[in-house]
Amino acid sequence: MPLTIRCTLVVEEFTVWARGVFERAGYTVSDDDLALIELINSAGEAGLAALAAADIERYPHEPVDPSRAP
Amino acid sequence: VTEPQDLSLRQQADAIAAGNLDPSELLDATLARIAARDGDLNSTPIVFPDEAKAMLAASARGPLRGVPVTVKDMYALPWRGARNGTSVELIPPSASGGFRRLQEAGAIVVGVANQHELGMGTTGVLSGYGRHMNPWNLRRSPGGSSGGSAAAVSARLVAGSLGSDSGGSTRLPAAYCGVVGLKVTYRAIPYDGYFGRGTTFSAPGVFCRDAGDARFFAAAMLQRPLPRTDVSRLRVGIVTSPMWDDCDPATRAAVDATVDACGWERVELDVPSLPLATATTMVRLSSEVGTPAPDVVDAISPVTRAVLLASLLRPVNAVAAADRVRAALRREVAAAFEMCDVIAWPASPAPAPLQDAPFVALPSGTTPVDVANVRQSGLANLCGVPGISIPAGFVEGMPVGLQLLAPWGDEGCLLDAAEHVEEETGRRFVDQVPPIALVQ
Repeated sequence: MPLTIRCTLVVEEFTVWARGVFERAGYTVSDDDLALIELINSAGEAGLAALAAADIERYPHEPVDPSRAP
Repeated sequence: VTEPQDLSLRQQADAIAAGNLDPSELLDATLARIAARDGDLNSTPIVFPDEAKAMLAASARGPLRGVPVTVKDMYALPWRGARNGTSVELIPPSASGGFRRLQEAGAIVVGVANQHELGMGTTGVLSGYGRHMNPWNLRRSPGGSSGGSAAAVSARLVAGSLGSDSGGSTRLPAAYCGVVGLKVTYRAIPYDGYFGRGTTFSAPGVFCRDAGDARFFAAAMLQRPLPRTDVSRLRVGIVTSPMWDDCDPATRAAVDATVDACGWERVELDVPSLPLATATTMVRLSSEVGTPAPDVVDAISPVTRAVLLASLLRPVNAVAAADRVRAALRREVAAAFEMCDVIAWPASPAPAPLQDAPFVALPSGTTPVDVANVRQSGLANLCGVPGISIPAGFVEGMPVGLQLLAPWGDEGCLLDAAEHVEEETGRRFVDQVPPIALVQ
């Protein structure tokens, strides 16, 4: 029997994916929760995008011991 | 001064030690003042008349003997667990490290300082105890997350309060409320029973009316002397963009004039990774605070709940990138302190916003106040170094603060600098009293 693939809007995919993440973690979320989460994510979006776009090769991995002076 | 609560922290301690002030009278007067003055402020929603009297009866003969203080809801007390600004007990009752330091100094815990819910905001608009307000204007934010501590000290309810600072939570409310707020070095006091114990960036903070009181309080908490030294020839590191450039122009001008008044040498600094510090701080904050159990999440406000849940969706590679940037920032800050003694910029980019409109208009655009505030404060938390906010002027009738950062463990330098600021400005900012504190 042929497999049927249905395309959905990106925003719906986010909602389905997010609900799945929360349900796996034991949280039940409402549509209002998801709307607030999207709003909060958008507030920090520019900074996070800059972090994602940073040339990570410029930042070699080195362990940070927060209990010692830099 | 007409009532003992109006005395400074040092004056209260000195008067009690000299036998000129009965600590029982001071305690009663403090509780009465909280009852009379804190209604709309809501800085100290829980008071402990019985436990405070018991503490006084057994108080140690330490430097703060008999001095009433409030404690942020992030510290467990022997008779009350820490709720972190929620309606749910998150840490069971115990004598937390912060409490023990107060107890050993002889201080009396008279109440819980209100705070932003779970420490996840810089306004105080959300709290399990209700929103709290700024003594300078009861429609404006006291800052956060230790807003109740700053407001109580500013309104002369207490002369000292123990708060904390995970992303500016001591320095920002101190700036908004016109008091001195000192974030100590990471892990400088015991962290047991403290909500920040599992994080790599949270640190206790002390609030007082001036730098002399902050020195006295901090020395008691750190349990080491902080003797004053001459800082008239301090080298002040300046990072112009974005820490000064992208501030409200009036705030920038006021803080700049205060630095000018001090006669210090200015050193232009380059901290190349600084533009990524805000995102790095926010990623680390959300990943380390984590998401509490579902029953706790269901008991908090929808916005804080969404902030917590949002962290579950953050890709792991963002945390990995944040850690790499953090390591670079720590190196860059260590290098900066080879060129200067302190790093300076405005503690907050603008004065306290209205509680109903938590945004700030900056040259770069209108921004949610939490994002703008964390930009000004996160570096100290990422690096674990001490930081202070000192009253540095007024804008729109509201206080603004000068923030200074110092090398690891050098709280003394910050307090020296703060006292120098007060002297060189004729104490005209630090001695201002909000209208609510003039009502008898």
